[in-house]
Amino acid sequence: MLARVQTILDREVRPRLQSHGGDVAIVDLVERRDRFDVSFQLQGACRRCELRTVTFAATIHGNISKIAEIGKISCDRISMTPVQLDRIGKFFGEHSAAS
Amino acid sequence: MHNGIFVFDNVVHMYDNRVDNVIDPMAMNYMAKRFSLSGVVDVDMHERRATDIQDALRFLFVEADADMAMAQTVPLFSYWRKGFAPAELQHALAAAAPDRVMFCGGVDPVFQGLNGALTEMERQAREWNAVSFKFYQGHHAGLTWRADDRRIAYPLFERMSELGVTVAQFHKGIPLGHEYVEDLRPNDVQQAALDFPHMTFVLHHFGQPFIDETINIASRFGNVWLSMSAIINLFPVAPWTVYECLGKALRGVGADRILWGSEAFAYPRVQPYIEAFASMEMPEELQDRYGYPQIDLLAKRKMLGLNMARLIGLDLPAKLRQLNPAISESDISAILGEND
Repeated sequence: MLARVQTILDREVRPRLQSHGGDVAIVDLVERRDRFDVSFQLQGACRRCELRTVTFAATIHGNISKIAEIGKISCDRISMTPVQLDRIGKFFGEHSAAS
Repeated sequence: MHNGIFVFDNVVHMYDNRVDNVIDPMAMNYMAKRFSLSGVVDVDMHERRATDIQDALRFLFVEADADMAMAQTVPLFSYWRKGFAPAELQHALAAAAPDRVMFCGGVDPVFQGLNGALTEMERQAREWNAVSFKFYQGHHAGLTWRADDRRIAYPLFERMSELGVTVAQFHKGIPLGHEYVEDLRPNDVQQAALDFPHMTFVLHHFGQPFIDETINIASRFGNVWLSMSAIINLFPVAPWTVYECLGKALRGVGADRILWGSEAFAYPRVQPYIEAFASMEMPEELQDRYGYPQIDLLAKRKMLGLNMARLIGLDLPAKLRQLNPAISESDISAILGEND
């Protein structure tokens, strides 16, 4: 699972963040019954960016949640509710991997 | 064109974080560590990236309904040799789609020196057809300059005027790194706006966190405009924050001096933002409580494109005919909002 998450990060997420001077790293991956909870830490320019919540929700969450076995997705210093995540998903529609 | 609305994106950036442009790969990494699962600290975390021209054109004009865009230089040199978004890359994007992309140059008197900045400004205007210049005043370790400094800033504005470039744009608020946030206040633009009445000063990001000051200044100085760059990007996460910012700006400044800015390509999917803004309505509760105006169709037309066209003196009917030779005069009239 770690390799699958890392592959998606490397392919779909990190290039976007790196083009803006930022990055993201996996800090934890825990198996809970049939699901894996994963947590991330934003790096570089993304870490203190005013728009880091957008980056997490649209780019990281939007891509990693495509893995069926993934449960909770969290990110250091970012708090998002299910309502927010649902709204963001609808906002970007087919472009849920929005940034 | 989005449902008959002309879309001119005030600000997109071609970033360059490739090895040869990054001075200190850890400078922007405030934690200076990458914590891996193994606990190993990886100091070589960054692969280097730059925005690709063909990707940029696709994001704007194929996957989104933008008609035109301004590629804005980011003259931040604390961490980057040629700037976070170098002038040459912005020009390259404009050169790749000259009918649709305009080049906004950028210089900095602290890092290039005043004479260096003036020389480079003239070069960017004459050789690369800069129609505006972007300025950043908050640099690492407290290096800064003010727009009302007669010895540093005014020569820049005077040279711009001599070159026939009268749109000066300022990144206000939103520090990217360890710059001092007070160096990014909007207040210094007031005297400059008075002393250069023929120029227009565009303040980006509504000056976040100095939003009230920024809107207050724009409300009192007719040649100070606002760009909603970065503010609109918050919409999917915090729509009420955006309503609040836009409501204050519309109430204080009006729809004639606010510009659409997607901040691509930090968020390259531009279309959801265009669609969201084009269909946006000010919640009635906020209208009732705070007097924020409804965002009607004409206001949206202005902010999404008509204002930007007016700002840079674009002959919009001629441009519309160029982009779509089959367009009718009635369609042009509608796009200009003459029927709203």
